[in-house]
Amino acid sequence: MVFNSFDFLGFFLIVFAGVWVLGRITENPLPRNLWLLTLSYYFYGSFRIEFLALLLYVSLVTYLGGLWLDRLRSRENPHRKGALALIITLSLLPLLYWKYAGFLYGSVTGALGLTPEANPFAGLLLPVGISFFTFQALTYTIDIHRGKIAADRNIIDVFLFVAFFPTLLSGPIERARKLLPQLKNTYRTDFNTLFSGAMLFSWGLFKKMVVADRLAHYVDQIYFDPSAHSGATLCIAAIFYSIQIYCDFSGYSDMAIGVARSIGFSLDKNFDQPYFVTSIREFWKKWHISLTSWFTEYIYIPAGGNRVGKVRWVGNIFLVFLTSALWHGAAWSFLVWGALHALYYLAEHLIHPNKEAVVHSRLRQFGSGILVFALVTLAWIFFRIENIHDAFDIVKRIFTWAGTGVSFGTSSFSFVLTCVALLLFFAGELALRHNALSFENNPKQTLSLPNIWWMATTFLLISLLGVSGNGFVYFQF
Amino acid sequence: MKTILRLSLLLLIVFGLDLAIDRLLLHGIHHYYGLNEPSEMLLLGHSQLMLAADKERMENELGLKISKYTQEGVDMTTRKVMAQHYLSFPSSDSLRYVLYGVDQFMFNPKGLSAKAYKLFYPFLDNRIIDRYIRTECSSRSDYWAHKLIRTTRYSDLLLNASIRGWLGNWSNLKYGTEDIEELQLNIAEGNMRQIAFDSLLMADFLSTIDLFTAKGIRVILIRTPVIDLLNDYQPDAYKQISEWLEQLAERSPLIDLWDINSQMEHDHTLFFDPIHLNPEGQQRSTELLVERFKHSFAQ
Repeated sequence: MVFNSFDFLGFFLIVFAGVWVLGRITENPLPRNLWLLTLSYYFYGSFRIEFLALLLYVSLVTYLGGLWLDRLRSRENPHRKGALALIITLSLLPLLYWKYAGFLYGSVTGALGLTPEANPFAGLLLPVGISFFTFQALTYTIDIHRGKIAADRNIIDVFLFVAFFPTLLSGPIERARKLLPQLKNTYRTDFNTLFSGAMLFSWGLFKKMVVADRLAHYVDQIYFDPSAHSGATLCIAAIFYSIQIYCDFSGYSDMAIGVARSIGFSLDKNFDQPYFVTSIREFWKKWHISLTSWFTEYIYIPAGGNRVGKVRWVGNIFLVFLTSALWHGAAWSFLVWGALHALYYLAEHLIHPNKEAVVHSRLRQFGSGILVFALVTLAWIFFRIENIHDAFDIVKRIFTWAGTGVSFGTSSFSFVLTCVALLLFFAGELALRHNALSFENNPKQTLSLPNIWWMATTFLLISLLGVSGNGFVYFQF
Repeated sequence: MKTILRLSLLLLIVFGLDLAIDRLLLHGIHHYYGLNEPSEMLLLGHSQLMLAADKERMENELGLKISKYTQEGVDMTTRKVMAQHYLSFPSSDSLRYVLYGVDQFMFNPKGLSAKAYKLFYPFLDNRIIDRYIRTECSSRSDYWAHKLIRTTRYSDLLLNASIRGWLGNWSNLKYGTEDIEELQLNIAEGNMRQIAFDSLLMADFLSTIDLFTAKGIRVILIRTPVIDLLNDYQPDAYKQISEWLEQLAERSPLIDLWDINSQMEHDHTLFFDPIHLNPEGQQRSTELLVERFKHSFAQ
């Protein structure tokens, strides 16, 4: 059951009705949390019932681990670090097995020159959302260890924190210290919160169904056989993929935040118009914010951040980007993607060492924006193409402008409609950027006439121009 | 109270605009397929006939009003629904001739779109199409979504058809020619669609013809052009289906069989792919159809 399905609409109405009723008959958040936990497990089980065992396992390790760490609260306790390491390892075990065993097995046997008949891990089906809920669960464990939060004895709340259905499949990866307190509060949902959440949800749905899925049709067709296409076509496909992955993932995040808002929860922004930036540093502050800040808080800073020698700092930058690459998937192409971004980041630091990229004129700003977009787009080719040789071949064909002609994909009419969808999307993004449009939860403005018109127009554009059939790109992580 | 009023306004705007856009698009689609328009001739078939017949040129040269109701990937069962759909309009009373596209693969249930029903979503208000989609559509939520929200009924293909209907543009845009070497390779590897005789499809085909002949409408089976390499692929089965069609044409004075395939199959420059004609091929086949029609039905 994905967000962009009618099944989800029915599911959400049941969730909302329960939260609405329970919010009116009791001040105690327990019944509401139990309701949300039950439906979150139903939501996850709808993908594959066996995966529920994994979710239960990670939740149980997180809950019991939290209580254990709490008992070892004293900083002088010699067992604290060992306990933390054990809990983290136990939490990561399913992720390591399902996501990395095949890659490790293939790499090790390859390095040793062995040629096994078949990789025994090759057929493993990656449980959807495992990287997201595992990392969300780890924020609870690590924050207890750091003394930022106390262990929660309420098993329902901890289990719900790990399995909260809006964030379960593709984030945003919420911190325990942000989401858990919200589970303790009681509140009343109303039409304003519902409508405000629905507005954000509909914009996410527009980005997914009208923009990302349309672009995916073109990109998939071209990348199915890249060698058959000209450099110009591959260049268009690369640009389209940059926009596709943004609209796909930020669309999902908007839907998740919108759903959570409708039932009274506030989630952190996961994207902040990352393609309107003029530097790589800025890009990483606005792209997949919840994961970038996770790596910053739990890996980069503990490794010393930038308060170390230059060589170690460079090592820290590579550590963060390569870990991020491996988080996305166990493949050499992801590592190239991560390494490229590390190099971009370091090169930019070399040019502008002490501050954010300073660009004065509008023309230079525009030039820097284009350059950053081009660099990010180049890196996305390695992210998208599994076979690293194919990825290099695509880059070569683009830079040598190989072949002639431009492919319009399945039909030139669909290509035109895709361009129309892109124009509408840019118009929406610009309106948001210049505050002509806002998705903030403001009860006084939520049901204003402009918002009603905007909602009606978005809804009709989705139903008229939306295409379906594609899963979310980030579900595979 | 204010909230309820505003939410009602939202629903009113959504459903009002949804209906208005649907009416606009449906008008274009009706004109494109010649539905709900009094015509004397109906071209009925799938993409092969769609690309083989130039409706405008035929109208000009024959002096007849023609409806061209052809859809991509539709099998015999779906074509029967199309015939019923066409005949459900009162304007169909003026119909005198049906040109029905036939080929050797027509009774093979494989190779055509299993989701062809999606092409008929815009006509969901028609009782025949409603029943057909309800049977074909696997998901109830999908059916009801299209039933309730009209703008969801239009795919890119149908939006294109609607715009072309409004612009009055029926031209064949499949430029290019078939790569013969690749085709030979595919034939050698056995990657081609087979001739088959599915009894259900045969029954639907016969009952479609009966629908027209029962009303005294003349049915002309058009043997649409297929490239010779493919015609020679299964000689025995090809002969069998050719004879079956000939026997069918002899069964009733209201049924004819016109073979424009034999006059075009060897000229590979006329084919966009093994079974579809390019614009040049379309002009040649239209010329043959017009000549044959004038010869057969000279007043």
